[in-house]
Amino acid sequence: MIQTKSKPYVIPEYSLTGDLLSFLTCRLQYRFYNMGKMPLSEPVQLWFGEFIHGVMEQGFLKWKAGELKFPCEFDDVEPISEEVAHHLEARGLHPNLKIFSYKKKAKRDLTKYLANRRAFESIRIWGPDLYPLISKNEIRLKNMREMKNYQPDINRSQYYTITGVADVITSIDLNKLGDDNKIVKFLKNNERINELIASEEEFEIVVDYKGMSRPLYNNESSSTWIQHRWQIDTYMWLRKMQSQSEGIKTPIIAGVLLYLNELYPSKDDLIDIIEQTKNFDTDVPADDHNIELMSHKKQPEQEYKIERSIRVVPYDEDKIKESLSRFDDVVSEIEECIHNENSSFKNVSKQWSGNEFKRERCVACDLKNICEDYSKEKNENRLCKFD
Amino acid sequence: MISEYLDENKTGIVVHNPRGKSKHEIECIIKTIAVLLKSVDPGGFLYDEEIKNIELKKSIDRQDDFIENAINSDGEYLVDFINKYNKIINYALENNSEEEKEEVSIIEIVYGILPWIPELYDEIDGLSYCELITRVISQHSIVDRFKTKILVSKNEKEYQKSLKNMYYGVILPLMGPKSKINEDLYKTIPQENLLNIMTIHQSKGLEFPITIVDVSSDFKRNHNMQRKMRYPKEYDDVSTIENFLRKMIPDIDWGDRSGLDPLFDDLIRKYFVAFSRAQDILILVGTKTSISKKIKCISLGWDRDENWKFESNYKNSKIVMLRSQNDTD
Repeated sequence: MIQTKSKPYVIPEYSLTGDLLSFLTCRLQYRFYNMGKMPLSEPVQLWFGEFIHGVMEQGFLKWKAGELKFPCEFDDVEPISEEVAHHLEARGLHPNLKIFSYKKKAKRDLTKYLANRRAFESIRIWGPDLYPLISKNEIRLKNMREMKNYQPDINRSQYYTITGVADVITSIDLNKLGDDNKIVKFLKNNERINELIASEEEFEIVVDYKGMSRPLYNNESSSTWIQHRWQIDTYMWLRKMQSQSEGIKTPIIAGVLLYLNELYPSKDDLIDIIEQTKNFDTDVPADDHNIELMSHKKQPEQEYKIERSIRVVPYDEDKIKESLSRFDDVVSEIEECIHNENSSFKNVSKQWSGNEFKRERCVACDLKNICEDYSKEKNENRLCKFD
Repeated sequence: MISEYLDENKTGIVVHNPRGKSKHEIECIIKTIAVLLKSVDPGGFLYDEEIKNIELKKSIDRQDDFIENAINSDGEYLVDFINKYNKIINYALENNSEEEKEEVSIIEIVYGILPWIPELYDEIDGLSYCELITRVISQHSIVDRFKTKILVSKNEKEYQKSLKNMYYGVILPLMGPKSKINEDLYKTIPQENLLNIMTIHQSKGLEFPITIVDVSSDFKRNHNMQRKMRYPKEYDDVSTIENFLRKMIPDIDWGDRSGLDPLFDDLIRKYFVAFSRAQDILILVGTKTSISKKIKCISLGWDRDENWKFESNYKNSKIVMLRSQNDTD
């Protein structure tokens, strides 16, 4: 007797940033660009994110090889920026020439080419303190979790694999470091981490670079702020699982997010920081002196920029459980969307609707003209001025 | 052919075979090309001077009605979309200096066309075609000095060069055999009663109660052109490069394996994957000629020492020969 065809058994794999965070940002974009592997027409943010990661990574490798020394000048970092930009071009990611320049134009006007300038500031400011601490970089992390609310008709498996790539794992031996290390200083400023450090001589922290400004913080209700928390918590958990399986006993005590755009805010960013301070929308408000500088379109003091660029997240089992649970929810939602799509093989875009409209993201989106949510917004005439 | 046969005989069986169609049969791809050409080349330079392929021209001409009449779900006409770009281009040709040239992004136009070609974004197969189109554009941008943009100014020569770049770098490769659907985009195989036709690569990890594997229908003659697909005799380009690189890696002990062994191993693994997909019944289909003429094929059980272990099975008639009505072989 011939069997009926069984459902294929697949343990789905989800990347933390490529799948889960992208899905949370916009389901339709996730379906097209991530699952569907289609390129963006103007990948400005994608390019910059890849660029700044690449610069920090290459900077570390050059420093490790003795080819980059601190303190460094713009001319020391510029070849690194150009090399990374060339690598990205080979992958089809072309720079926006309004923010990046290959030629010496960038040096002639250091305020104009934001990407070149931010690359320099990132390495100049964080390189000397971060690079000596790095024990591993670009670490692949992977583990399996149970599929939450498993439904055999909907989910492909009772489990899923979550993967991530941590930019940097640092191994910190306090006996060998002084308090003049900025990373250690910020760690110790955090009460909870201070308690954790008190009992450990050597520990690890997970560092993640972000090619963006510090997100809004307002009683932790900002979705980007929260999602970054989930992300770094998950990296810490993945790293802990990996360490345990490798017999490494060094505890992980914190995650650090570096918001590298804060090291050289644009003119629009300066206005945003002032607004955030006035509206209590930031956890790092500017003082009067920096507000005065920024309102005259001048860069704030370096100390303030450094403070805005670093966010320290202590290792906290309860919070990590909560973050993991939130991601489990996201995975369940994605599984349901995939199931709905495969049930009909048509009306695909409808299965990925239900996105929050955000003007700055949606008005420039390639997919706006096939997006139900954008269409709703347009029909309610909220968009006729900007469309 | 299979889906046509099943349709003609009203079997009610639907075929799922996204890679099996010729691009000229995929209407949404042809529509995209036709609209793209109309948008960026209002003067018809490419159509008149460069497109020599008659099949392509006919496919494009077939779209005239669609272009004239297409309306999207918001009630907007496709011709208005096309006219918008025509105006930009005609204006720039008349008025813009080279320093002020207009840059029209091809991929932006492709995304812009989507509302009029819903099969490209609302059907799973269509999404894989959409990925193919955008992938070809993106890949060409790596080597294209125009970065897959149409540059328009009073310098008509540059405009025409960028049009030609689009034609030779995007449209022709897209329609050619080397641009293939990415099978990895299919997260699952359709569960309904469909006859799934797929490559062996796509079938990895899956199982089916009945599996039919084509083992030799491409090999009616003992021809050198297809040897590497059935019984390699010499290195192809890829294996030549691999062999060269192997010499650069001193740590690997290759032992007694000759340069051709990896090629045989690849073929054996491929057919192992194919044959092990069947849960209950495995059906091998091919041509009688490949057996009667003893054309060496790994898929028929030939080993790399030119021994055919399958021969006695054939002689003992353990093979069921199925003849179609048109089988003259």
